[in-house]
Amino acid sequence: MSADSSVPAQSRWQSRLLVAAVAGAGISILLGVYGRIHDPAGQQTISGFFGSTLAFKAWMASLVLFFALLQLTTALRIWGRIPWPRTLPPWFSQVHRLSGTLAFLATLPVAYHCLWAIGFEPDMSQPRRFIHSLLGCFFYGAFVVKVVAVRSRRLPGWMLPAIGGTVFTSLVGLWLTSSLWFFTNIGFPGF
Amino acid sequence: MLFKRLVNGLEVFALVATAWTVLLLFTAQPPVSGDPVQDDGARIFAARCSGCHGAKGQGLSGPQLAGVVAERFPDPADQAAVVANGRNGMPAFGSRLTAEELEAVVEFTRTRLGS
Repeated sequence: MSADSSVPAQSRWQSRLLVAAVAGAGISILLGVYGRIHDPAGQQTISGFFGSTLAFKAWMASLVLFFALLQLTTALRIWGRIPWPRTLPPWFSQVHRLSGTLAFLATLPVAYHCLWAIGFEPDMSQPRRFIHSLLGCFFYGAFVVKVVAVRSRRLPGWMLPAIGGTVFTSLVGLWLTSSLWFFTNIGFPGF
Repeated sequence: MLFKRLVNGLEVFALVATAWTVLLLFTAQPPVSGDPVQDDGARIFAARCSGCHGAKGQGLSGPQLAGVVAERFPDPADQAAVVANGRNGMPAFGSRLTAEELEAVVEFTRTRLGS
């Protein structure tokens, strides 16, 4: 009975994940296509109290990384990989969700400027910009897969951490190819 | 419970912000100066270069151009090559500008920018 009922359940999460993967791939491709065919405006967009949009983006991306680290840390505790805090407060999982949402929100103005004002760099002789462009598109696709996966029951235990780890790794790559480059080549703090 | 509601609300806000960002990607237009006496070089500089080099070429995240670019690139062709192929953090404009536009913006930065 349990074997019979587990087959459709397994099939359900597999189908759901497949749809999420296709949707994620589609979003990554669409972003890449937009960045490639859109005529880059070459304009500053948002700069806040920073001197330039690039400085704003470098710091926003660092904020994203901070929230992503917070989410990674809380995930590690939820999955029992780190012992502290010993007992999980009832709001702990909400902190995990909040950190992810804030990280995503902080990516939006950065991605907007990248796509609208600069565009996708297809030239492989510009490895930093090329890798950054690829990772930027990949990140949002992977994020979609993660959002779907986190709501799917009966996933194999390794899958959600693997997807989350992929999203986090792509974020670290994005930060290294943008903010770190900005801080080391343009200036720190850069405003 | 209140905290959970706050997080739920923030997730809804994130969805709306995402939709708004996508909408902006397809609708936002670079500002046009509307000044009929501006030549192509000035127009292109305002649209493509001023974001990093400053409206008067004074330099922002990109280096200062006004008053110094001709010294830095005695041969305009070298400067045009940088504009076309990009360098360091500067994007390549070779596939986005025609040869005439490239020449116009290089000429503008060498002669009129900052004056």
